[in-house]
Amino acid sequence: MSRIKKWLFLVVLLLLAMLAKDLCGQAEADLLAKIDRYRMLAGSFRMDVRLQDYDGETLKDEALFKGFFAGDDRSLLICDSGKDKGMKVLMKGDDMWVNLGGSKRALRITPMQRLMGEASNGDVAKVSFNRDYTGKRLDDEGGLLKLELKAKSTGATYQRVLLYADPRTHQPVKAEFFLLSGKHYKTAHYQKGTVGDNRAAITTMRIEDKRNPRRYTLMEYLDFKPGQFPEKYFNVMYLPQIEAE
Amino acid sequence: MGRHLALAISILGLAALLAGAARPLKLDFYGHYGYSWLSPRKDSPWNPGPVHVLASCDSALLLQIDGRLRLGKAVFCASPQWRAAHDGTWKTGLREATLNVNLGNFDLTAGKTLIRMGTGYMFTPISVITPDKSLADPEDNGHEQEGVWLLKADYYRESFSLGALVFKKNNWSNLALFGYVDAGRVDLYAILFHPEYRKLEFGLAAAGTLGESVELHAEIMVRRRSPVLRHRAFSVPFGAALFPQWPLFQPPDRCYPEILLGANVTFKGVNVIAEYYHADWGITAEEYRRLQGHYAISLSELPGPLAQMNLAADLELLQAGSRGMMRDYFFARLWKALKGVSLTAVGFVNLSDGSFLSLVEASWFLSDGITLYIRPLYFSGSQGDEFGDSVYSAMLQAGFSVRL
Repeated sequence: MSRIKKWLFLVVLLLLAMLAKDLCGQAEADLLAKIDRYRMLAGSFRMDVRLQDYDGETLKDEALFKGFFAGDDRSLLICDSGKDKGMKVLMKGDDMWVNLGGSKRALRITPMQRLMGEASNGDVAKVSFNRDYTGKRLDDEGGLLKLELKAKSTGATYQRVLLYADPRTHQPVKAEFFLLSGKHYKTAHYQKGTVGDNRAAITTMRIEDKRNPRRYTLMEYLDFKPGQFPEKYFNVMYLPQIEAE
Repeated sequence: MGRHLALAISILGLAALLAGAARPLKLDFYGHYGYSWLSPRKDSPWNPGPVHVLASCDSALLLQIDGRLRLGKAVFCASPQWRAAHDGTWKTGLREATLNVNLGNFDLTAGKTLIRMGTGYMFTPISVITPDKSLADPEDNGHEQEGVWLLKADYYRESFSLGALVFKKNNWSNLALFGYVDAGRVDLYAILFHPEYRKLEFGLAAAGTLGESVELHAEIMVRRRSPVLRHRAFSVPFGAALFPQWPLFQPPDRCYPEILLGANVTFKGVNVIAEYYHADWGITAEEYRRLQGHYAISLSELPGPLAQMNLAADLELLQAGSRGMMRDYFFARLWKALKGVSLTAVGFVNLSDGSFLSLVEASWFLSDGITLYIRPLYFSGSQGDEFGDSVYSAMLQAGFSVRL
C-alpha cells in the first residue's frame, strides 16, 4: 500500500510540475502578446516602409517600399524608389520570395538575404514574437524586462532573441538577434510613435550590425491604412503581375 | 513587326484618349547603350575567316517605352522598342503587348508576353515558353528577349494556382497546362506540354529553403524528341566531298530528360548561386568533333547551295542547345553589393571537356534609374573544346541603362 502511495505522490508531483511549467509558459506568452501589440501585427492594412542605410552619419542608400499586410503572417513589399525600384518581396510566415523589377517570375529566397543595408527580409516581415518564439523570463536588466526567446521553427530568421521591454507598458525597447550558430548578429532598437487613430505602436526600428557598429539601417513605418487585398496577392505565381497603385 | 508596333501605339493612343486625363495611363522609359570590344579567335574552327570577317567591336542602342493603361478590370500593356545597330540602321520591335483581364481569382491574358516558369536562375528546363538567357547578358540589360504570342488563363488561390496556355511558335498548336502548390517549406511546380509536331512532354520542379541561408531547387523536364540533329556515325566511303550531302538526321523519339539541380546560398553578404544542368539530348564529345569536321567541309564547299544548306544546319545545331550544345554544364554566380557598386562573377563550365566561360561585372548605380556597367568576358579551353573553340576568345562590354 505504502508503495502505491509513494507512486501516487510522485505522479501528483509530476502533474503539478507540468502545470506550473505550463502556467509559467502561459504567463510569458501573455507577456509576449502584450509586447506584440506595439508591433501592428493584427488585421489587414497598407503601410509604407522606408529603409535608410547609414555608415556613421552618412546616408548611403535609401528605399521606400509599399507594404500590404494581411492576417498575422503575410506581407507583400513593393520597392517604389531607389535602384531596386519594382522589386517585390512576398513573405508568408518563415517563407519568402522575391521578384526583381522587370523579371517575369519570383524565386524563393532565404530570410538572411539582404533587403537593404543591415535589414534582412526577415526583419521587415511581420515577425510575431508570441507566434514564432517561446519565451523565458530572465532577471530584469537596467530596469527593463528581459526575455530569452527560442524559435518554434527551424526556419525562423533568428533562432534566439534576447528581448528587452518596459516593465510597466510592455513596450519593446531593444532586441538582440542570434543566429543558429549562436553568434550575436544584430541588435534592433525600437522607437514608439502613433498609427491610425492615435494608437501607440513601434514606428521606427534601428537595426545595428554587431560586427560593424558604424553601420545601421533605420526602418520607418509610414502611412498606416486598414485595407483588404485579394488572396492572389500572396501567391508567388501572381507576384510579377502586381503593380503598386 | 512594323505593323505590330503601329497597332500597339495606335491602341495605346486610342485607349488613352478614351480613358481621358483622369484615367491612369502609366508610361515608363527604358534606354540602354552597350559597346563591346571583341577579340576574334583566328584559329577557331567556327571562324569563317575569309568568308566573313568577324567584327572587332559592336554597339547597340535601345529605346523602349513601357505603356500601361488600366480600364476597369482590364489592363493593357505595350512595350515598343527602337533599336540602332552598330552600322547605324534602325529596327523597330514589339517586346510585349498584352491585354489582361482580372476576374477575381481568374486572370485572362492575350497578346505577346514574356513568361518565365520554374525555379532555376540560369537553367529552367520546365519553362518551355521562355527564350533562353544569354550568357553574355544573363540579366538581359539589352532587352534582347522578346515575348511570345499567346492566350493564357489562370486560376489563383493563395496556396496554389492552375494555368493553361496556347502559344505560337511556328503555329498555334503549342499547348501547356501548369500548376503550382505552396507546400509550406517547399514550392512545387508541374507542367504538361504538348509541342507542335511532337508527343506530350512533362516536367516537375521544386524549391525550398534549408535553415536561414540556403535555398535548394531542382527541375526535371522529360522531352520526347531531341531538338538537336545528329551527324551520322558511319564513315564516308566516297571521300569527304560527298560527306556534306547526308550528314544530319533526326534522332528517334524517346525520352530525353533535362535535369537541373541548384542552390542559392547567402554567406557573409555574398550571394552564391550554383547550378548543375544535364540535357540528355546534348551531343557527345565525339559528335562534337564530327560536327567540326562537317562544318569545315561545308565552308570549303561554299558557295554551293547544298553546302550552304549544310552550313545553315550546322549553325542551327550550334544554337540549338539552351546555353551549350553538349550534355553537362555547371554554372556559378557570386554577387555582392558594396558601397554603390554591385559586383558579380560568373563561371560557366562544360563538364565534358572542362572548357569554361568566365565573366565579371561591376555595376554602379549613379542615381535613381541610371546604371553604369563594365563586363569583361573570357572564353577558356584547349583547341577542340567547346569554349576553347569559341569564335571570340574575350569580350569587354561597357554600357549604361536609364529607367525613367
